Amino acid sequence: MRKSKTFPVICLITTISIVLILAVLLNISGLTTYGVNELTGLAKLFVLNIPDPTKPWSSHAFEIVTAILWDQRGLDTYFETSVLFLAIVASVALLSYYGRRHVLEGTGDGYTTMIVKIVTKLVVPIIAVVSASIAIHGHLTPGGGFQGGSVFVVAPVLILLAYGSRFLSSRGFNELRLLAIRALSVTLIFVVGLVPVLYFLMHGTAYLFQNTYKPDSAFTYPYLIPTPIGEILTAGSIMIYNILEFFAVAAGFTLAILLLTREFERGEKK
Amino acid sequence: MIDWILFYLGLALTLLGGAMDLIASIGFFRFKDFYMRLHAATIGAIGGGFYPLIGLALIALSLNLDVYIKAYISGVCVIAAALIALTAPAGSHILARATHRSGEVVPKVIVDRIKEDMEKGGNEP
Repeated sequence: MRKSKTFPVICLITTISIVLILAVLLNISGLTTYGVNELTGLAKLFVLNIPDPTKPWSSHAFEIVTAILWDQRGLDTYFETSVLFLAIVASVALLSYYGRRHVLEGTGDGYTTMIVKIVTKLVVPIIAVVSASIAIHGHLTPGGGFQGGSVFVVAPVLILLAYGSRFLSSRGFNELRLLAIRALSVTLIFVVGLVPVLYFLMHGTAYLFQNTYKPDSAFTYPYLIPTPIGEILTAGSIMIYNILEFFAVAAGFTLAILLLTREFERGEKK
Repeated sequence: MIDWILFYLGLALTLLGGAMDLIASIGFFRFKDFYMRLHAATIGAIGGGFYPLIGLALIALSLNLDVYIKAYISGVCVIAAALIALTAPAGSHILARATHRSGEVVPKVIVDRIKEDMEKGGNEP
């Protein structure tokens, strides 16, 4: 066969030429060198101001990316979450058979073995704990609410694949409850962002989605909570946003995947 | 002395993992059958993922660092290795089983007990 001999060679030549062209381009553009000793203006602004509690524009959070997401551009992130919420609602509207009461249909059981079930049982709690820690430490280490929620969704996926959708449905993970958690979390995020506005109406200057005090505004969420062991850094509203976003993302994606799996099982039965 | 032993044991495990990865990648391209290729992929997961992580944990323990940092690095490595050792065999097992049951790939074997059981209509585990 002629094709089987020339095809790998063509692939190899293409790959090598792409690599070479990329290397030359990167070298010419100067992106490969570490000769940059100074930060650009915007980066310097963020890196020097956000983690430093002595600066007036500080967010009191060590994770600069999360601080930018929820403090510097909190309103923007809120609308991103809302877009995701609308996508989930649309998929529920497409897939949901709630009116027909087919909630406990389809088991999916019998397609997997004991090995998969036991490994799933062992791994699911680990995934849940890791995802919660990613969300709760979002203001200290890389991560955050969205990332933690996305990691959490792996656990329901594993359960759905190993045990079938009936296992989740019979344990309280029904679509109305998940949708309620999702809606409640998104609403609470907006309420937390709206609290400074109430302060503004009653006392003095404050900004929408404000986190800690600013030079012209005394409003602040508690960012250092004193306890008998020591002070706990909660970074103001960032931790609240992270936890709420964790619940919102986890519930929303679990709902979408639960509905898709149920549809798949129904197709299997026919 | 114990540091020396731990360091070279960890280095040996890491090199073994690299060799296993190489063998797995060659086998992945050279084997003819789906099931044989799955076997090669599992060698890559266990031999190329599990052993180097254990080796890294041992190397981290042997280094001249604070106990806190050493425990952190080697603990992360051991947990990751344990997760790989738990999930990779289960994943390849269910992949092979699903492929066999769906009849997507017919295995070229002399004796096929699963097929016999399925024809008998027996209850599969």
